[in-house]
Amino acid sequence: MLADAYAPLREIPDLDVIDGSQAGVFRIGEQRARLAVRPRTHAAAAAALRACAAAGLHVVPYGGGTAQTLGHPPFRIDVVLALDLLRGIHAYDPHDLTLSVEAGTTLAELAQTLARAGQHLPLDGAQPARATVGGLLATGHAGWRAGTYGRPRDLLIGLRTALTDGSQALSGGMVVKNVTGYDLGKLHAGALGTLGVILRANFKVMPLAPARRFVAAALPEGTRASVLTRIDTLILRPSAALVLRGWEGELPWKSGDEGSIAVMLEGAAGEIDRATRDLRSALGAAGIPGASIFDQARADDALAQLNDLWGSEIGGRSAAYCLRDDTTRLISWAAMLERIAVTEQMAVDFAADLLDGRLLVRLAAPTGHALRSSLPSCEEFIRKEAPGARLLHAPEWARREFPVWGGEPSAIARMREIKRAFDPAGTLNAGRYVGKI
Amino acid sequence: MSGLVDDLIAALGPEAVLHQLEDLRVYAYDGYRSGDALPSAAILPRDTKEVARAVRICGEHGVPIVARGAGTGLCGAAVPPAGAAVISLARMNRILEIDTHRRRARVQPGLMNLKLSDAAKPHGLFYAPDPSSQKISSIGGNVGTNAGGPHCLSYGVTTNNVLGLEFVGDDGEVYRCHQDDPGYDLTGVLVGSEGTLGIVTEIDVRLRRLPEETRVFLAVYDSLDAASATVSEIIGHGLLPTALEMMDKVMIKAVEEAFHAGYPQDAEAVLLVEVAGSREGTAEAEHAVARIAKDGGALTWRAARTQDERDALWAARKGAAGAVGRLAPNYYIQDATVPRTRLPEALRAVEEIAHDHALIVANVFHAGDGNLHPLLLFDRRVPREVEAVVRAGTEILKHCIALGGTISGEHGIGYEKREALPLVFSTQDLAAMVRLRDTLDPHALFNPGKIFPSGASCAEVREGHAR
Repeated sequence: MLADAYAPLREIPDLDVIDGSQAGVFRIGEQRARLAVRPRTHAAAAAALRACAAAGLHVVPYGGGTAQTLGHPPFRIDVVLALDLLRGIHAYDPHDLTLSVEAGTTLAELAQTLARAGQHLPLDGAQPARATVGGLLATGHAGWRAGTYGRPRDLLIGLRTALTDGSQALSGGMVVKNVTGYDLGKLHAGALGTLGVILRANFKVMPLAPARRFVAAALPEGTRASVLTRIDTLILRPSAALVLRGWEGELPWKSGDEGSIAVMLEGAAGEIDRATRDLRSALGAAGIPGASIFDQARADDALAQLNDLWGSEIGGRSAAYCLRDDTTRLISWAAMLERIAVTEQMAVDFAADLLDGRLLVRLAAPTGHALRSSLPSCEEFIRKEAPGARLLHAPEWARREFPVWGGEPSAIARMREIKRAFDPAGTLNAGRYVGKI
Repeated sequence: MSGLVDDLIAALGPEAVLHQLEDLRVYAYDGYRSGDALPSAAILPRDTKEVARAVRICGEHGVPIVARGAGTGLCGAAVPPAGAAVISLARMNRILEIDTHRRRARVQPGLMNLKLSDAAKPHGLFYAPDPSSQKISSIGGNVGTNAGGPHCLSYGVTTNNVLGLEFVGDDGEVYRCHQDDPGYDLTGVLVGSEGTLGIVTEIDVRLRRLPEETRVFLAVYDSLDAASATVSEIIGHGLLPTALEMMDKVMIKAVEEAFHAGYPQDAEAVLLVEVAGSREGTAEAEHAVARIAKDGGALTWRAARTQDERDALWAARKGAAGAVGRLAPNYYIQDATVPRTRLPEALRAVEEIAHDHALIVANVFHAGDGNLHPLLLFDRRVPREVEAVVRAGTEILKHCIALGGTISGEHGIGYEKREALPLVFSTQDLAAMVRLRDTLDPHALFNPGKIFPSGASCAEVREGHAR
């Protein structure tokens, strides 16, 4: 029965069909794909989607596979729609500061192209060598510089998607100011591929700052609270500022009793020099003696290591949450979680975004079995304090049982209607999104 | 229709419902045009609950609703079709909260744009989107059209500065959406939807820190071409001023006569450049931009050294469209965007098209964004001129599309450009947009007849797609 359902896919031109053990390289959490299709053209992607919808097959769109543990586990996986063959820069004129890129292009590839022209797309993703543009948009992932440069939705100026009826829909365009028609790009950004499959995206890009400096310092006991207020009063704003604790072996600077602080500065050379002086004196006044400094490419690397923390899983025995609130409250939650973790014999690592009011917290147990017994008390604490907290990764049992997305928004009924309108057969990523849409 | 008015009065009180002819006339126009027909009622709710009640009553009567801010829009989006009910948000004009620590504010839609920045200023903050109409346009209206403004070059347009919304849906229910909340980004699609998806009753906005230093310059040119080439060079060199505005000779003359701000009347074009940020950053940016301007043939490069001088230059720029009243009884302002490298070509085309139609054109626009605003001057009483303006306007749009641009950068589609939408989007593209419209407002209760082509009712767009 199911074999027949797949037959139409094999008829579609420019569509590679992979089955058997080869398809197993595409992993969705703890599950492996049994069949994957790789379109070579937009038309093939749209045709594959239509064929799957018509045959009642459930489709999981797949970029670099770096964020497939986000959301609830899918109800069913019949076909993985892998976008890795739709890659490359479609259009780019540096003098326009705009770029059009295929969805399967990796963030690293994109960054290289832009850097050659002295530009960048300041949307940070974890594992940029694997993570794709389409995946970044679909997950709506906001890296540590989002407080400065915005989220993927803010730099997106045009989007081409394939819908389950086989149509392709464009919204926006290749200009930086555009109010022509509905901004459907916003609808797809962060929708986890539940409304359509992202084929190509247009962005406004930016000149790369001539000077980039990364400053990190260990926080001795009793300094954390005072550093928070001092960072907030800096006149020259950093592009990222974090307070961290834990992440042993994952960061190239020393941590103190109260963790460490990490700051990214970007701008003109003179600006960065003053910002560094101001930052040093702020740290000094808070009782923090020394700091490590990384410049230019080394600063970029340090920032990339920070961004990798978003995707840092410890195979089957960790879970990570993102909480939003005022920074002071976030830090106090982190401290409370540390106390809970001690009684539950878990390790806690956290990173608080001082510019955008977010806390990334990773909880790890000695084994997957131990996580199963100790995670619920942390989940209970988090839901009580921050009901909107998002579970970023966890073993499948947790993602099935917990309100992964942090409760239902007031317009959930309208969102279900939107899902039905764009994907009436529930073909795309069924069950994974908010309210198990 | 009297049933509608009676029900509205019963629910909201007589002071919240206008229905006399002389009152209704005030609600039949916007900055683009005067409506041919009158609404059946103008409703002035005081709070969200009253908006919701009004929406439910209109829904029960099957009377469409047009939400209205200050009526300054330039595409006819706020012009009601005959017999519709207008919901004016003018009374809901309060700042509900300014959170200085997280740099956010919560406001009602009827608040005038500039009042928010005025209120935020003592805290060292400001609200970035600054359409030229900011003294008289409402933030709710800005949300409806996704308004821009000169400073959007570095701070983004309305959609980049709106974090969340409260809105009343077609079912009369009140919904909240926020970028931080889980689920589809309804905030993102409601901003710029011209009141066709819901009525926005509260807005969460981002505030920004006032820059440490702001410098404003005037570069003077003896050709429009040289000025627009300079704009492309500035952007191409990776410089992003906070604003980069251009005016041509016709506009400079009108503006200078009206404002006496110090614009040179003999120039063919001027660039108004603003850089803001740290002391070091603005000094470096000034140096780099000045060099490019001079290399590009600027005759003079003048810095506005005092706050008064800066304010005068900006006041004149923002009052430019009004100043054109000195040159002709009427003007038609076009709004299109092109990739920034195509700016010189686009401006030449505008000039040629105006010349071909024997029209005078005045240009004042957001050059850094590639967002053109040619003002075609005419006299409404001369039929030949009216026809010429309409044809020239369409030709300009087509030309901008051919250059890789689009038909509206910030004014919106409304009535004005709905027939031009298929020039930019395919039937499949439009069908996807209509699908969203049909989902959130299946009975076309909110602002029917706007944005989408008139021939294309939702069903027709779908049929087109099926073909």
